[in-house]
Amino acid sequence: MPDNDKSLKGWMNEQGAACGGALLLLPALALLAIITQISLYWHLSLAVDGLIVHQQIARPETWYWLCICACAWLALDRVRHWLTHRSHHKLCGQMQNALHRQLLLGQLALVRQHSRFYWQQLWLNEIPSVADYLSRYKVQQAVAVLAPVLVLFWLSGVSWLVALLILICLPVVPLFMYLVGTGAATLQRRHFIALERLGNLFTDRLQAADLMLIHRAYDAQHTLLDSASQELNKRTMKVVSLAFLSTTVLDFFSTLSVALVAVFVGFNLLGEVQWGPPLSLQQGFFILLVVPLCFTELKTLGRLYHKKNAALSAASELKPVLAPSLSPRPGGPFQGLEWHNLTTSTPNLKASHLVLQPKDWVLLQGPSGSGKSVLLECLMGQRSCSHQVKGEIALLTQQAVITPDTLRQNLCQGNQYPDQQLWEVLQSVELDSWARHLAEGLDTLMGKHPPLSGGQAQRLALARILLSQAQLVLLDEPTAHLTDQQHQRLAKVIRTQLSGRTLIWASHKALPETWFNRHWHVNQLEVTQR
Amino acid sequence: MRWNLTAILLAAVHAAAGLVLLVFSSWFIAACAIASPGFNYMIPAVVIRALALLRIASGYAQMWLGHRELLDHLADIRSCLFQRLRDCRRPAQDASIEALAHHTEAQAAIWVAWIAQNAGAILMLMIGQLTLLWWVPQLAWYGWLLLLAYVVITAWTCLKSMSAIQHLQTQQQHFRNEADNQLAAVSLWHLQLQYKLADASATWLARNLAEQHTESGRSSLHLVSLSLLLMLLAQPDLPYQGQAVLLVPVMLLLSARDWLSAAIASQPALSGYLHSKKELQSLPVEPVKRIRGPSTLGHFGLRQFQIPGLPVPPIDLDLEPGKVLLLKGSSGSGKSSLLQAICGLLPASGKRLANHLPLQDGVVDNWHLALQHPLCLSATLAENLQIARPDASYSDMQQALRKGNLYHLVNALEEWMGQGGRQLSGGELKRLNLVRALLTNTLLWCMDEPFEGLDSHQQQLLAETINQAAKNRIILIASHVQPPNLRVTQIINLDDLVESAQSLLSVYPCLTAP
Repeated sequence: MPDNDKSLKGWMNEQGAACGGALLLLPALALLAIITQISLYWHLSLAVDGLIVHQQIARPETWYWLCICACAWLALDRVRHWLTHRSHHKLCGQMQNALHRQLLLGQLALVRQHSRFYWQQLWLNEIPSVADYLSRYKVQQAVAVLAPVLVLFWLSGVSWLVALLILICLPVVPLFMYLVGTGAATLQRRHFIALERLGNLFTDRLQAADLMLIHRAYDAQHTLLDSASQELNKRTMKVVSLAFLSTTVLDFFSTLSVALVAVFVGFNLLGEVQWGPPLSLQQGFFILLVVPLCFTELKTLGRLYHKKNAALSAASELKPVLAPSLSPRPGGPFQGLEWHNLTTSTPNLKASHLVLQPKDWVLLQGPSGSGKSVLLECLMGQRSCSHQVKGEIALLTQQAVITPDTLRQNLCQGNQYPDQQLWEVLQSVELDSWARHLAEGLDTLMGKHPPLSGGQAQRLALARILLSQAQLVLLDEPTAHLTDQQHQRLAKVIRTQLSGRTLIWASHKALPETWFNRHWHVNQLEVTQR
Repeated sequence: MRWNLTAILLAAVHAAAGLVLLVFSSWFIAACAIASPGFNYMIPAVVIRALALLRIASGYAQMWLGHRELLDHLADIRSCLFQRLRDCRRPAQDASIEALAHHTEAQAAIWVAWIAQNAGAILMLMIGQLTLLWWVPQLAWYGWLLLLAYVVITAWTCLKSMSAIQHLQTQQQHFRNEADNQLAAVSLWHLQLQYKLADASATWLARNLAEQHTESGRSSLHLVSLSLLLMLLAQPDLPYQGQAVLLVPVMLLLSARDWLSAAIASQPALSGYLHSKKELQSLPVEPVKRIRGPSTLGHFGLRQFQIPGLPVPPIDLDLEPGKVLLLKGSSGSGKSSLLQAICGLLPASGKRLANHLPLQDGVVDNWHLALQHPLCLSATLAENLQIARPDASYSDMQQALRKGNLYHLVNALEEWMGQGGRQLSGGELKRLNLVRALLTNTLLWCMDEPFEGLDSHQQQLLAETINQAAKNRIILIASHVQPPNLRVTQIINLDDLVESAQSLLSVYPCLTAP
């Protein structure tokens, strides 16, 4: 899909915009290093000419120039590496900021779309891959194009004939590489499905370890895996045999150019060949040293080629995640809302008229999958939506999250509360006697398996909301996984403790009608109120 | 091994041919410039072209052969690893599986990525030094100095990259843990005004550090070789003036960075190899014992059965065929762990009884566990089902698919499932899991959340199939959903057990948990 690749490349270039100066400076530094390298070769050829033809050691000024060029070359290389690392780090940091921003805006609605492993990979693999593309591959691409121009310019001053020959040969290299590359790509496409299926069998079966254990299937799968490996290797070698030709083409031209230039220059010096201007040893030696430079940068680019593909697949993951679509919700006190024609995109939820006054209690009902969670996430500002709620909101989800930290940290969530307030809140959610039996009270670590039943965990989650100052509270089926008895108990606590706040309660389970002054109903992504 | 060595020899020839070509070419030019009459220029010209062809041919051959060996090696390593993991349990997290794939690659790549590079460097150093000793013995000490510098720099780079990889691992693990905890608690983020998300900067810096070490190594070598070159040119009584052989040390020193840098840059491959070897050797695997349960099961029971670490008190239980036990409880209450322990996948205290007799520890062969997150193997549908019963015929499988309400897959047995093929939805996977259970023909089923992700109609169909299956076997279901038509004979609620144990503790504080 070249079209798609193009848009991904465009997106990656946008990411580099903030680091633009450094990314322009990097090719310039590389070219400068090549210029110093060529001047070093020039002065070296002078010294060699003196040593061999005139039998005298290098003149002091030649030697000084050699020293200067060598120092400049070394220094430029170091600076270039340093700047590459710096811009790489800066680019990563900038994309991380964008990722943080998106995650903090999208929160649950965004994070639950993928596994935790997926998100970690964005940080650890995808972001550095894109930065690699910008700070290494793209820079090298520019250098690989410009370096031959520099070399040819220099060469033409020494021998127009050699320069002309190289100029004619040079475009042939990318042409051959392109032909080989498309050939390999066609071959790859022909084997694509088989390669994709066979390529991930190993990790697939490792993931299914428990399944194989339960079904005693290890031996059968082992045989299968072995034969799949053989088949995969056979097919891979077919593709690779052609793909390697691309490297060989480059090798062919760079090696042959050295050999032919050496023979040409040698014969010219001997007087056996009379084409072009007659050369001295100094000129001949210089040509021999400089000609390979036409190809070295191209070779380096070839070694970085895999970075481009890695970056493209990374960009295809990052681009949709980092596309800005949400804006932060406005702050201030919650003052009720009256919305007309609420719409959201993906999924397309609609409501023609929604009213919510402070201190209202709303019962939100609808079959599962009808869009109750989507509506709550819109109110939270976690989905792109035509309207926004003003003020702080607290959400209680189906599954209570108890972090492995202490009970205090679980309650406080980064804020500071006096112990007395914490105990009061524990008492209001009927967890005080449980907490008093903990070995270290409020400072007991909850650990991987917190000593709580599901109902208790949900009440602990409610305690957090009681501590928060949010005036609007959203409940997304907090009792869905609880027994009827636990459900009744939690519902009663919620009723007594939150009656002073505005509340929207999504529930499948029965709740007393008298508690609610509004009823919202969601059906097939359409919200109606009565 | 033989082909590996050939590949390495070819790689060394490839590298050395390039160097020899360059040195020989420059000697040739110089020789031509000061040639006396009668200088035979045809032989060197032929040698130069022969060297070029040798380099090109050996370049392709070493890549091809080296890569083939790498792939074969990788297949062998993975096969051995798979054999080691046979009937073992390990924490099957995505990150650790990816790490395993990565480690096996690092193992297989050692020949291509490190041995070949270093063999090439050693061959070139030998050729270079012998040429110096043979043609320009008075300047050979430049070669010795370069050799010394190379050894020191390579050793330094190697040591540095060892510590760098260690550092990177620590940073990466640290980041993963932090991000994991944060992402798990995503529904709490909104309660904090300024939530600070995990920062991966330290990991990136650690990765850059590893690269910086090899770059420093290359720069140092460059510095040494250029300094030696300048020293040579400044030597006041330089011998061999007016002779073409003087170009040999000049060219060797000038291009030292180009021909040795690949070997220096390859040092991280060695540390990667050693690291992955250590990781693979110390792989945390728990071998699981297998036991053969009684061939008929008239009774199943638990006595004081408890999983260490969980807040659930010990459980006593008795079930006969035809009975369906429903385990309830909120997520995280230990339903899955309990089912896994009953099947023998997890260690537990207390006793499991079969026909009133205690069972040994281990996975019971003719009991079945339907996992909460059923997996579809990357394979055809038939292979996915034959994992449950290897000798199942197509008609067996089709019958089972119908019973499991997967009518639309009855004619898709040859179709490829998973990546690169047909992707099954969550609900289809749940039903596939039931089809597998039906095919196993086992005496006891433990089903972990079989109804999750199904609509109510499908739940009822599935419940009906379970009701049918329960007639001649014992079924334990962990679920927070209870379809109305599911015939349940007994219910255990883990949340209630936890709370009653707590209230017992508050009345009799002396009964503290062990």
